[in-house]
Amino acid sequence: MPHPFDPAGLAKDIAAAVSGTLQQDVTAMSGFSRTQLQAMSKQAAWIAEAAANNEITKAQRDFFLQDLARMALTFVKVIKGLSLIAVEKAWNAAVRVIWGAIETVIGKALPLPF
Amino acid sequence: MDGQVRVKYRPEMLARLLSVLAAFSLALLLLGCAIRLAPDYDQSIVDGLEAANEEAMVLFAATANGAAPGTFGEREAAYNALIGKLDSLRVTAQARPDPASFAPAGGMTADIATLESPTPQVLSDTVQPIVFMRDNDRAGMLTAAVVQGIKQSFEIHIARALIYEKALRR
Repeated sequence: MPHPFDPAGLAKDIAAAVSGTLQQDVTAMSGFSRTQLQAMSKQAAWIAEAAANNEITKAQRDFFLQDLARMALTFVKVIKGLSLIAVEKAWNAAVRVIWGAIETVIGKALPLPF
Repeated sequence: MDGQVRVKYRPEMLARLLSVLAAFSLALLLLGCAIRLAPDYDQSIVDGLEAANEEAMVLFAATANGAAPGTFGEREAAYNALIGKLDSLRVTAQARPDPASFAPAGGMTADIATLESPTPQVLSDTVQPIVFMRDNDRAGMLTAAVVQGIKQSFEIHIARALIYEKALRR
């Protein structure tokens, strides 16, 4: 009788589940980062041009520069937040696969721990 | 007969028993290993962000060519409504429990420096260009160039809040 718990097969299934969810999230995060960095570069160029052409006052220029500095800091926080969501999804996808394998062996459904 | 029940030993029964024990051990090991690293999705925050974004775009369209001095009163209510909405969303996002609140001391999630959602900070950044725009409008200094700069800034900030909040739907 073959052993009902197949660690090699399980490892393969976990890898497939994790890489599937990570690939999707990393692609989305990379697109978001690119768009945001382009928009911040455009804003920096606009501030320089508007200030050089005297289209904005010194006080207005200072506000836009401070705003740009805040943008850079918060961008890192948002990327960190999105990364945590990606890690959470990957980890929990792995747990689901393991749960499924255990249920197959014991022949009954188990409640997921989340 | 001595009255004892004798069970005939069969190797496959032992293998089956060990396998079930291994599965149960693994289950116990994994119990509680599922993790929560971000807050729950909140549809009301996403709806509020989309509504605020729409209101802001209407305001930018109305002032795209700048605003004539003395006309601030025509837009004051729109500014206040938008600023109030963004601040209210920030408070709602701040009041939402972070997963760290539920992490056991010394547990896996507690080891990660902070699991704070970025949304309150993003919304704090988002409201500032609108407050600046309102103050410039009130002072009669809202030119087309300033509106352009504010609009570009607002779009960067609000996109972050929308992307993050929508990513929480998992």
